[in-house]
Amino acid sequence: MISPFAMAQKEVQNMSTEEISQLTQDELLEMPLEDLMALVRRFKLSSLEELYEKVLNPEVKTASKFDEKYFESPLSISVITAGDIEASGALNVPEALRLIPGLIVRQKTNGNYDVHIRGNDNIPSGQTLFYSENSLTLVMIDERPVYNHFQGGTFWESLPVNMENIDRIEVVYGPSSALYGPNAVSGVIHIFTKRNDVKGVESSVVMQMGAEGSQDIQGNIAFGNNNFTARITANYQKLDRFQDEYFVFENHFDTVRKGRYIPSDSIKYFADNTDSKFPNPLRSSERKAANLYLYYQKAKDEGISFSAGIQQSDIQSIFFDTREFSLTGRQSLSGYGNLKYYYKGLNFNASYNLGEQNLALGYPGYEFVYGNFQSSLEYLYKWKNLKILPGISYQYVFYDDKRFLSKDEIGIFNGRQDLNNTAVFIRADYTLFEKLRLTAAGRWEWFKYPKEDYFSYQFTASYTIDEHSVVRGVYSKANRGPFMWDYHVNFSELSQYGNTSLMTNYNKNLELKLLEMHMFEMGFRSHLSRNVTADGSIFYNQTTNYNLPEGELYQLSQNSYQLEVKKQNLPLVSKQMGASLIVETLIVKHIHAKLFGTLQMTNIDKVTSRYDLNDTLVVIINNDSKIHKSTPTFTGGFNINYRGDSKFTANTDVYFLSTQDVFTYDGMKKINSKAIVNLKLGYRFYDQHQVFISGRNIFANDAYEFIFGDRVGAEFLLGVSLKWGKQK
Amino acid sequence: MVITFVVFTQFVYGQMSNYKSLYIYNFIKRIEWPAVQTDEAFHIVIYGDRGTYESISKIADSKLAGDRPIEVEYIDDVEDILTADLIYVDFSKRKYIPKINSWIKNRPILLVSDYKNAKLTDINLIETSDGLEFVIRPELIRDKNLKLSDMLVQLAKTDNENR
Repeated sequence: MISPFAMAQKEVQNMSTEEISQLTQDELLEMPLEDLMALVRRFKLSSLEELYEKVLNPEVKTASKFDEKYFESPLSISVITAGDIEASGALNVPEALRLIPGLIVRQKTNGNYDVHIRGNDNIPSGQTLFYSENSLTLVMIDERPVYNHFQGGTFWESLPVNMENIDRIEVVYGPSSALYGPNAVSGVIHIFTKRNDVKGVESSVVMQMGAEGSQDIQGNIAFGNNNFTARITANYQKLDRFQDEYFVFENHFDTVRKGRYIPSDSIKYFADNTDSKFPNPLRSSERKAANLYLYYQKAKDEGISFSAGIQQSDIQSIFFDTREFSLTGRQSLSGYGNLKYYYKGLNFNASYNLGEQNLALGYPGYEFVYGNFQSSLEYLYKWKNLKILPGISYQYVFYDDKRFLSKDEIGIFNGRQDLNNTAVFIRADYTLFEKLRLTAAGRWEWFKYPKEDYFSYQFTASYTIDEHSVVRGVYSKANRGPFMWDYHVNFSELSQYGNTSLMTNYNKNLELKLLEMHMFEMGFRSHLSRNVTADGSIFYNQTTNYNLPEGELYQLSQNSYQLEVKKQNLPLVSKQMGASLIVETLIVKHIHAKLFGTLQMTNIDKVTSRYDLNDTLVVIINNDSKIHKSTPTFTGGFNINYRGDSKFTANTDVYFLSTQDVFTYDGMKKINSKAIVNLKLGYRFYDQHQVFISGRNIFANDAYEFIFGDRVGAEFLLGVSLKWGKQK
Repeated sequence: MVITFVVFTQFVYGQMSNYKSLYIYNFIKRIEWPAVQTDEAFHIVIYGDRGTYESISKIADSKLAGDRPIEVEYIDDVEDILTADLIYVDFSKRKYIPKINSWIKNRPILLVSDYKNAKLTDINLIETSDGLEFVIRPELIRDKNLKLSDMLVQLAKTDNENR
C-alpha cells in the first residue's frame, strides 16, 4: 500500500523551486499535512543545493572581466567574502589575505605586512631590504589600481577601504597584464566594496579594543531605493609594537653590515636625528580614512557609480633601506575619486589619486606630492558563444618633491617628473560544444620610459569533463611597469664612515628594460561530492629583466670617494615551479571549512650576487645556493567557521609559513617556520547586534616572520558589532 | 563565501519557522480538544522562538482552531504560563520541558518541541537534512483526553524510528 506521504511526495517532486517559492500563505494553510511534508522535503533539498552552489561555486569577475561562476573561470582564482572576513576578525586587508591559498603574507611590524602571490620575492638577493618588497602584484579596489609607482608595490596601510565594507576579495594567480596592464605580473588582488543593493537605510558600527593597545573602529551608513544608493564609511585604527627595540646595522664602508636589536632609547647613539625618524617608537600603525560611494542604476545594463575618499596613515615598517635601521617611518595623506559608467557592453572607468607621502621620516629627500590618473574604455561584444572585449587604456603618474626641498637641498627628483603609458587590448572568449572554452588576450603598451613597446598576452583553454570536473591550462606573459626611481632619480647622498666620506650619486637609466614573467599552468577543479570541492594547479614561471643598482667608484682624495650608481638589468633568470591545492567543504549546513597549501621551489640561474665597485672593492658576498630559499617552500592554512541558527558564531584559522633562508647583505639569515592561529567567538545578544572576542596569534608565537622585522605576540580584542537595517 | 552562506541560512531559517507553524496548525486541525465554549480562545504559548511566534501569530489572524479563535502568546519565563491549549518549547529552552510537563500533568494541553530527544513531549518536530518530520506519542496524548486522527499517526514517525 502506498502511504499518503509517498503519494504527496511524488506530486510535489514535480514542482520547481520557483513554484514552491511562489505558493501563497493561504495555499500553504489549505495544503494537507502530507503535501506540506513533501513540500518541506523538496524545499530543504533545493535549499541545500542552492547553499552549496552559493558557498562552493560563487560568482567571480576578475579572471574574465565579466561575471562568471568560479568553476567556469579559465584562470586560477580564489575568493573570500565579507562573511569570511568578518568571521575571521582580520584587522586589515593583508591579514585577511592569509585566508587565501598561495599568498605569502609576512608581518613586518604589528599590522604591517609583506604580501606576495606565490613568491619570486627578494630577487636579486643579498641587496637592500627594498628588494623584498612585492612589486609584481597589482592591487585594485573596484577596478582602481592602488599601486605605488615610486619603486613598486602597495602601501597597504594607505588603502582607505573599511574592512566591514569589503564585499569580497578575488585573487587571480599568474601574469594578467593582458587584462589589467603593467604590474599584474604574479597576479591581481582585487578588492570589491559592497554595492548598490540597499533598500531603505542601513548602518553599522564595529568597535574593538585589545589588551596590547590595539584600537579599531569602523562606521558605515547607507541609504537607497531601487535605483540609487549612497554609502558613507569611515575607519580608524591604531596598533602598537610588541617591542621597544630597533634593528640597527653597523656601518662599514667596505662590505657587509652586521646588525643587532637595540632598545629605542639607545638608537640616538647609532644615527643622527632619531627623534624625527622615530617620533613614536612604540606605535606601529595609525590610520584613518573616510569614503563616499554613490551608485545610480538606470537599467540593468546602464548605470554610473562614483566613489571618493581620503586617508591618512603613519606607520613604522620595513620598506626603505636607509642602512641605519631596518625600520623606517612612513606617512601618507591622500585622496581619490573613481568614476565608472556602463551602458550595455560599454564600460568606462577613470580614477585619480592625489597625495603626499614621506617614505622615510627624518631622512631628507623622500617626501613628495604625487598623482596618479588612470582610465580605460572597453566594450564587451557578445555573439552566440563568442565574447570579444576590445579596449584602450591610459595612465599618467607624477611625483614632485620641490615643495619639500629647501634651497640648497638635493632631492630624488628635484621637481616634478612623470611617467605615462597607453595601451590597446583585446580579449576573445569562445566556447565550443559547451565543453571547450578558449580565451586569448593581448595588450600592446607604449611607455614614456622606457622607449620600448611591450606586448603581454594570455591564452587559456578549459574543458568540462562532466558536470563535476573541469581541467584548464594557461600560458601567459606579463610585464612590470616603470618606476619613478628607475627613470627619474637624480639624487646625491653623503655618507661618513669614520674619517672616510662617500658621495653617492644615483642616476637614472632610461634604457632599463621592464621585468617580464612567462607562466604555464595546468589546473583541475572538481566537486568531490555535493558538499566538497577541490581545486588544484601546477605552475611554472620564468622571470627575466631583474635589475640592480651598479656603481663605479672614484677616489677623489685619500679619504674621499665618489660612487656613481645606476640601475642595470641583470642576466639573472628566476624559474619557479610549484603546486597548489584547496579543498573546501560545508561539512554540515552551518560549518564551512577550507584547507589549502602551496608548495614551490625557485631556482635562480646566472646569479650575479656581487656588487662590484672597482677591482679592489667588492660589496656583497657570493650566494652559494642556486635554490632561492627566501620564498617559503610551503605556505598553507586551514579555516573552519560555524555560523548557524543559534546566537553563537565561531571561527578559527591557521596560517603556516615554512622556513626561509634569506640572503641579505648581512649574510644568510634563517627565519624559522611559523604557524599563526586566530580565533574569533561571537554572541548575538539582540537582533543583529553582536559582542565578540577576537584572538590574533592566540598561542603568542612571536617568532620573526620577516627578516629584521619585529616580533609580534598575541592580541585579544573585545568588540561589539552593532547593525541596523537589513544588512547584506 | 560565508556572507551568502549566512544570508541564505537566515532565509532558510525564516522559512523553516513558517513551516513549523504550518505543522502546528495542522496538528490543531487533526487533534480534537475537549469541548469548550466556542467564544473561548484557543491559547497557544510559544517559549523561546520568536520566529515561530511571529509565523503562528500571522496564521492566528486568519484561521480558527475548530470554531475557536486563536490567541498566541510569547513568554520569556516559564513561570509566565497561566493558561494554554498548546505549548511550543524551542530547543534553546529544552531544559524547562520537565517543569512544563509537570505543570501540565494530564490536562488537555498539547506539548510540542523541536528538541528531537525530548521524551516528555507529545510531539517532537525533527528537522533533518532533507525535511521536517515529527514523532508523536499517542498514549501520552490520549491520557490528556485529546483525540488524535489516524492520518496524523500514519504520517508521524515512532520513537523507535527516530532512534
